[in-house]
Formats: sequence, C-alpha cells, structure tokens
Amino acid sequence: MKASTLRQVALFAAAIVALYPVWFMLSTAFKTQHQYLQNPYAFPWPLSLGNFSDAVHGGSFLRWFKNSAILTIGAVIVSTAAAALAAYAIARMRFLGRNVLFALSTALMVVPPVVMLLPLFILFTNLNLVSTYQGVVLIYAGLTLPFSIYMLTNFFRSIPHELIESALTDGARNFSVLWRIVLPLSAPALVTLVVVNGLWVWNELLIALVFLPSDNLKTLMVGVTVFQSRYNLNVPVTMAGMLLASVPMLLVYLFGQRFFIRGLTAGAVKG
Amino acid sequence: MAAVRFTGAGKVYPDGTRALERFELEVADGEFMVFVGPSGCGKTTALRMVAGLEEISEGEIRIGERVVNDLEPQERDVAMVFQNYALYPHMSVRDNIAFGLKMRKVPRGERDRAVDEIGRVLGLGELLDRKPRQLSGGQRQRVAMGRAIVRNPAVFLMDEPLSNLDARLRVQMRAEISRIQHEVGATTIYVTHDQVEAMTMGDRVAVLRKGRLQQVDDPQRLFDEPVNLFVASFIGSPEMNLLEGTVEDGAVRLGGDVLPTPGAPARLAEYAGRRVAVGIRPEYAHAADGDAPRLRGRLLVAEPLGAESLVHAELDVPPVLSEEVLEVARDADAAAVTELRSAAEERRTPFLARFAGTVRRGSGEPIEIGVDVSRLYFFDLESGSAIR
Amino acid sequence: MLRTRVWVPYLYVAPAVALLCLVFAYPVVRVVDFSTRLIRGANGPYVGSLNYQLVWEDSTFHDALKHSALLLLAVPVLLVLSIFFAVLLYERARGWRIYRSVLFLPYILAVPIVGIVASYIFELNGALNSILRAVHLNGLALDWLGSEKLSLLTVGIVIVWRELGFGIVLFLARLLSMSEDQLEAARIDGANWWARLRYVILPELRGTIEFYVVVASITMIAWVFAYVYTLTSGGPGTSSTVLELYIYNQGLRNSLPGMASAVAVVLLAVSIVSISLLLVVRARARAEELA
Repeated sequence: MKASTLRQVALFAAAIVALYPVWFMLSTAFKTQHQYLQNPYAFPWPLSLGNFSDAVHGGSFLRWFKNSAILTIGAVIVSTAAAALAAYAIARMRFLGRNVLFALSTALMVVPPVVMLLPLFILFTNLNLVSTYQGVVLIYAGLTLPFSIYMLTNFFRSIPHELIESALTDGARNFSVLWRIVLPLSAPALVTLVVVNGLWVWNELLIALVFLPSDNLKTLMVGVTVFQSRYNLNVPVTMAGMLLASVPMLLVYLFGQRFFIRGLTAGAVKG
Repeated sequence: MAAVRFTGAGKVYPDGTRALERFELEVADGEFMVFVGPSGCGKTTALRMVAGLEEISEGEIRIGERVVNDLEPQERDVAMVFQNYALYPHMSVRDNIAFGLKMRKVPRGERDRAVDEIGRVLGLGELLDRKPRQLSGGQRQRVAMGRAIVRNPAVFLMDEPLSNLDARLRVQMRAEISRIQHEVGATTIYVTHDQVEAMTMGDRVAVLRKGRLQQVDDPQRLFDEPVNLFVASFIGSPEMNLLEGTVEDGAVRLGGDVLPTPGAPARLAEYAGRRVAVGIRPEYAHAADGDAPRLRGRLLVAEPLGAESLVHAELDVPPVLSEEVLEVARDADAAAVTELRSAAEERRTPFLARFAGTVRRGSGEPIEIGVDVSRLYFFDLESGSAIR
Repeated sequence: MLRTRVWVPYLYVAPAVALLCLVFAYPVVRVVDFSTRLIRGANGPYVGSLNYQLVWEDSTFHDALKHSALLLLAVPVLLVLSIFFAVLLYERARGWRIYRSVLFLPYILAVPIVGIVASYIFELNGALNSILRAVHLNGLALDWLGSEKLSLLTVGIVIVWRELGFGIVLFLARLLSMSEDQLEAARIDGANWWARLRYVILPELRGTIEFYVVVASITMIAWVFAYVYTLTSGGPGTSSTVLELYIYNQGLRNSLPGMASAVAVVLLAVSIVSISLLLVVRARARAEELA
C-alpha cells in the first residue's frame, strides 16, 4: 500500500473513534427507549424528538448553564486581573522576593486541588462563603492563578522594553503603561488564558460539587451528573440532556476554532 | 526649549560596571548635539540618563534650570526617538502620535489639530489611520519623529534613529531630521555610532570612549584638530592613516622615506630622535607629482569611484598599534584587529589614498603616494594625545 | 526595569499573593495540621501519626495509590499517539484541516459529559459490545465497567480518548511553526519517513514533549476525579478508586477528615516528588546535551 493510503486509513480510523461517542450521543438522543433497547447502535429512525422535551422539563439546563457561565467569566476575569498586576511587577519592576515569588507561584501549578478541599470547605463554611458565587469564583481564580502568572510574566518579559520606555517618556505612569501598552500587546497570551482557564473552570466538577450543593446554584457539570442519576435507566433522555449540555461549548468551538486551538497551544509552542 | 547640562554625571550599574564617568557637558538651547563613539562607549547611557530611563548614579543633570536626577521620565518633558522606533503596534499612526498628548490630558480637539499639523509637516497625511506594520521603514521613522515633535518637548533625544534604514534612505532622512530640527529649533541630543552621521548633522559633536568624554567640538574642528589618537582614528571616512615614524630635524622618517614637516607644531622638536604616531588623512594623499614629498609602497587594489579612485596600498612602515586604534578597528570588524597585528609583525601598514581619475596599475606593483606635508598630524605614542 | 518607589511593586502583587494564600498556602498548612488531629467539625485533639497509621492499614488506600500510579501509564500512550497523528497531519494528508478539527473535538466535550456518555457505551449490553457481537467478535465483548480487572483500563481508555485531541493540536502547532527547510534538506539527503521523524522532527519537538509530559502527568495525578466519578464512582468495589476520589469519599462521604487529610498530604508529596523527578531528569538531559 502507498504511504498516503496508509496515512488516510490511520486518520480515518482515528476520526471514527473520535466521533463515535458524539454520534452515539446524537443518535441515541433521537431514539425512543424501545428503539434503543432493541439496538443501541442502529440509526435513529423514525426520529423521535420527545427526549428533548423530557430533558428540558426534567433538568434545569438554562439555570445550570447560567451558573457555569457566571463562575467561568468571573473566575477568568479575577484570575487574569490579579495575574496581570503581579506579572507586571515580576517582569518589569525590581523588588525583594521577586524571583522567589515567581518560583513559588509557578510550583503551585502541580498542587492538586483536592488537597485543599477540606480546609477550604471548613474555612468557607466559617466565612459563610459556601453556596455563593463569590466564594467559588475566588477558589477558581486562585487555582488558575499560578498558570496565569506564569504565562503573563513570560509574555510581558518578551515585550520590547523600548515600547515601555517610549510610553514613559510620552508621559504615561506605570499603571497606564500596563493598561494601554502592555495589555493590548499581550492579546495572544490573554486569549490563551481565557481558553485554558475558561475550559478548566467550565469542566470543573469536584469543587462545584462540594461548594455549590444548593439546587439553584448547581453548575452545568454538577447538573449533568444529577440529571444522569435521575434518568439513569432512560438512556435516550440522558443523551438528549448530555447533548443539550454540550451545545454551548460546541457552538464556541464551531465559531472560535481558530482562537481555541491557537489559545491552547500558544504557551507551549515557544518552549 | 531648554539647555541640558551634565555636571560630573556618572553611571555605575549594580554589578559594578561603570558606563559613564565624570561627564561634563553643556548642550545649548536649540543646539543639535551628537554623541558618537564605538559600542559600549557610554553614549546611549548618557542619553538614557537624560530621559530618566537610567538612574543617575553620580553628579547631576539639569534640563533648563531644573535638576532632573529624581524626576520620573514623564516629569522631564523630553521626547525620545528609539532605534527601532518603538511605535505602539496596536495603535494607528494617529493614536501613536497623539499618545503623549493624551497622557498629558490635552483636550481631544486640540490633540487632533496638532496631529493633523504634524502629519502635514511630515507628509504622513494619508497614513494617519494605518497601523505601524503597514508602513515602510522610512514612514515608520517619520511617525517616530512626529510622535516626538508633536509634544513640543524641552529636549529631543534620538537613539541611533537611522540605523535600521537602508543606505539610500539614511542619507535622505539625515537631511530631513536636520531640516525638522532647525524648523522646530528644539534642543536635540542625537546618539549614533556612525561618524558620518555625526559630522553631517551635528552643530557640535561629542566623542566618547569607555565612558569618558574625549572631545566636544564642531565637526570641522574635530576633523582638523583631533585631540588624541582615538578621535583622530574614529573621525573621518575613510579613516586616517596612522604610521609610526621617527622625528628628525624638521622632518619625520617613515620607513625608508623622509617627509619634511614645515607646518609642524613647535613642540614636535621636543620629540627629536623619538618615535611618534604620524597621521595622514586619505584626503591629503594623492598621486605623487614632480618632486613633492612622497611615500613609496605597493598597490593592493584601487577602487574606481568615478572622478577619483580609492587606493589601497601597503607601506613598509610599522603601524600604530595603540589600544585606541585597535578599539576603533575592532568596532568596525573584529577580524581587522588580527589582520592589523600580523601586519605589524611584518612591519607593513595598509594605507589609503585618494587618486584623481583611474589608476591603471595592477596589484603588487610599486606605487608612489604624494603627501600634503602641511596636513600631517602628530601624536605622542605613550599618551595618545595630539602634539601641538 | 521600571523605576518605582520601594513599596509600589508590593502593591501590584498584593491581590495575587492574597488569593494564593487563601486558596493554596492556608489550606495546605491546615491540611497538614488536620492530618495529625482527630477532627470533629472544624478541629480536634492532636493524635500524632494515628491518621497515617489508619490510612496505611486501609487496603482501599493502597488500591487508590496503585491506581493513580497506573494511570501515569497513560502518559506515554498519549505522547506516542499525539506525536504520531500530529506528524500524519503535518505531512498534509488530504483533508488534514478537517481531520484536525475532528480529532480535537473530544477535548471540547466536558469531562463529566464524556464520562456519562462513555458509561453507556461501555455497558455490558451497551453500544460497543453490541457492535462487537454484531461483527462476531464476541470474545472482545467484555464487561468493561463491571469487571474489577477492566474498570481502571476502561477509565484510562476514556481519558486517553478525550485528552488525545489536545496533544495532537499541540504537537501539530509546534510542527507548523518549524521551518520546512530542514525537512526538505533531510528529504534531499535521502532520509526516509522514519529517519526524518527520528533525526529531524523529534529533536525539534523536544521542548514541547517535555512540556506535554509534565502537563499530562499533572492531569493523571491530580485531575481525573471527574472521569472516575462519572464513569465508575471508583468501582466495582475499589477497582478504579484513585487518590482524588479516596480523599473525596473519606472526607465528605465517610466524614473521616483526619484520614482524608493524611491522604491529601500523601498526594501532595507524590505530586511534588513526581514532578520534581521529571524536572530533574529534564535538567540532566539538558546538561548532558550541553556537555
């Protein structure tokens, strides 16, 4: 066989494997329970739309979605803002403990969140921060902060110092240099932070499970597990729910694929 | 507008390196002052100390009446043009030029008027809404100038602003910067390591070496009366020829040839019988005619330049290998130093002369070079200072 | 460097430091403290190493530790597959852009959703086994999630399935940023596919490989809770329990915060040690290369 044929065979097989679970989700969502039990992999025909109305009634997808969106946006903003200030100081100012701070912060990237789970839970209970957006936004922002600081510090260091000096002689103060020159020039790094941290928070289950137990604050990820245990035996309805829950990200991916892939890979390609 | 005065200014970096030492200089109000010297001579450091981008470790710097040592860059009322222009890539040309005004809270209408005016003066009218990356090198250079001029600062600082342009554009921008400076009349400090730029643009030129000021003068005096070997070999293009000679009575012996020294300073007599460095500018070395004083050597190559030829010859005379000369050679080309050293061992020196017309002789053939003996330069070999 | 008053930089780093203290420093200190106490509510008497002894005597802990270590085997699998497919795409296989989008798609799906969907596919009478039986591969139609021998493997397969997309686009991005001159030169010099991979592409990918191994290892040690929770909940029995899940169960389900804290300390140590080892190996390789 020719090399190009082998290549196509390998890629085609991989594509089938990559797509199958999505196809399973999609096709099952349009089957009746009876159709599914008869043949779990057959093509869904005739199409049945009933699962979706069951799923919408049985779950609170809109509310879960709203909660996840608030937490994701909030955490990304807080994490990026705190990291930008810190990274600016680390990259561009001289102060005692600068290198230690950067090294320690970078090292925190390897600490598993579950290690902090119990003490944080007890602390937040005492501070009345459990079951609040603010509390969980703080946790997510903190957990993503080491990566944000690492990313932005390296990026800020790569900005030509003449641009900053030029702004200073043009009369800008330190903070307006950050705001008007450094941050606009860091767009690629900021995209990376939004994608990587946003995806991380959006997908997070453990902390959401523990810190947001009340029904009206559940995130999409927690909601999805609740939904599944409710409809456990009705696979088509469960899949309809999973499909609904995947729609936001699939849309983001469809329209922002470029940003997505570039954002995820930007940090690593240089190294 | 304001004068800039350095008083005993010095710069020592935290690691102990000294970049500038006891720098004394006054740049007059409205003057175009050029700082020139090889890499690492401290010229950029001196400039950045005026800008406030580099702390002043010793002495003081005044802009007008104000001591600026402790002022932030934004408080000094200076504008700077950087080597790579440092245009803000995310802003349009208009926003780039207006940035300094915006930072100084100039109202919008006034800002727009000022930018339009500058755009007209610099011929940027059409380009105001473009981004820097859509501009050519010359246009970027002009925007960088505009950004500096628009604020009408007390002092203009320019850090090798032409070094990123190609040769032709550089000549054109040289004239343009001079023209703009005269129109605006702003006090300007211009750093370059190209001595041609220094000579053609500066009202006065300050030559620096290893953090020390060597000489400040107008270009003509710098060319005619260099105070030491370093200035002599650094200023002038092509470079001054430097040979080691022995002083005789009313003459100087260079290898097998003797040149009379009619216009020599009286102090040269004190060096009778001793070796000195003798400088001959290529401009004063021509094809020998009649029985005029001459030096004999071998032709290496003659570059025809149209009206004249640049003659590369080799003389059997020891070259001057002082540290100053080596430093200038190294700055141009590191390999040149090795070449110079091996030439010295064989007691031969490369020599440049300007011959009228074309030289019809082959490489290796003997050649006689006539020297204008009233234009000889003499330097003490020990101290490097000019003998005068 | 900007010139600032001495205290100004501290102002800039203050919010970040405060947040890091709240989320990392304080909890880590407390968890070490908790691990030596008999916690009821928010505090309790000092009991020395009792919690550690209890943990050590709990066979579930040993299982969890073993399973977390076994999941690290997914890292080399991910690495090889990512590079393999990235190179195929880089060679501009027909339709490579579409393949890239498709192979990356799994990474877009949220982990809990992936876990739930996979839990139905891998059921004893789920889609996978139905298909296998339909093509008469009855011998391969195993009880993927219900058998103690297979459940961890299944978790690993699902993790690789989702995480592979990231690896592929990462290596592909690095390859696309590299100059093609080298590859063309190698081709002209007569290097075949394998030789080009071995002598041109892999050395070029080195930095990215190191990065990816670190990131993937962190994922396997510290970020698989959602997979396990939704796929198997650690079962059957304890056959797919990992350290993360063990801490969660002990701390919040079984109300044994002391033991959970002891395991958390162990997990912290394991992550620090394994990542440091990786970094040391990397530094040594770098030094060797320079020597």
